[in-house]
Amino acid sequence: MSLSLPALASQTDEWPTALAAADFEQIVRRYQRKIYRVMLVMLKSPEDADNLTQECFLRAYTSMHRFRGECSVQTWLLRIAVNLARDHVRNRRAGFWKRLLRLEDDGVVKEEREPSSGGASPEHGLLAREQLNAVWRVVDQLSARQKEVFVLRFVEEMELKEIADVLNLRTGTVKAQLFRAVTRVREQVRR
Amino acid sequence: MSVHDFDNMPELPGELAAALRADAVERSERPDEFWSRQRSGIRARMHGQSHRRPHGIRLALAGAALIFLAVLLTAPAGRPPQVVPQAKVDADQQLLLAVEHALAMGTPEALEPLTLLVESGSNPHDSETISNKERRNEN
Repeated sequence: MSLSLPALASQTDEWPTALAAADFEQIVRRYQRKIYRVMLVMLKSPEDADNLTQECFLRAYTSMHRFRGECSVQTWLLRIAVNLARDHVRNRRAGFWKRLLRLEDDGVVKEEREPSSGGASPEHGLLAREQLNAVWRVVDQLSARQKEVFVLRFVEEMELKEIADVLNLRTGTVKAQLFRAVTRVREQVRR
Repeated sequence: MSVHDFDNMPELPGELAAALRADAVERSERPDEFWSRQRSGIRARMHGQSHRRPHGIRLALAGAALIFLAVLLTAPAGRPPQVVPQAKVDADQQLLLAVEHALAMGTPEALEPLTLLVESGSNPHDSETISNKERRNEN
């Protein structure tokens, strides 16, 4: 019996026990934008985000025999992605040469984050671009854990319980981290 | 900070939260070619992974290479290996063979008296007999 992954993933959001490469491709299609978006916000480098998104799916593929279905596919993938991003940031800070590369990456991101000339959404019209950029800068200065919680909550609009599952934390801890992150962002907005 | 401070869901102003979400989505938007290329990259990595050697074997090979390098680096370089001079061994061997051969041949005639003396020294009874013989010969 052939597994229909798109249907399976959308209905049950559970990982099938025997997954063919073709089926896995459907999962990639479904989640690659989300994983890339999280990576980009966390790492601020389009190249790194692309590379680690690919790595994330590779790891998921090679370790899917360990997936027992205790959580959703999305949670499983986001857990891998967050761990990869965390390791990457840690390694990037480790060496002198890597720090130099990071400066280059930051330059790319600054260009990326310049206001786009057209296609502004209605929400963008409500907030000045400068203010939005200032908020992102505050988010970048949050601790790694606070940033992860903030991004999953406000960029991916996940529930606290889901975030706790992804980060292997208790819901109370997620709430505390989020509280601190939001407080800092609010302080920035008030200025 | 008490637990009760977190009783309410910590939230951003709705407008700001929506703007942040929309901004993140907009920044991560890419053309279809990008996503297609990304999927090709994932497929290539999956293919490469399946053709790669097992992790344990790679670790064992790396370990063996490291040990080999360590032995190379720590082995004394200046001292040549000790070689036994073949010519000297041959000469000693020849001398030994010659002595054995000579012993096997028996005592030379010129040394017969000396042999008798040695034998008589080691056996008093025999020496007495020899002395008597000598005396008899003298008589």
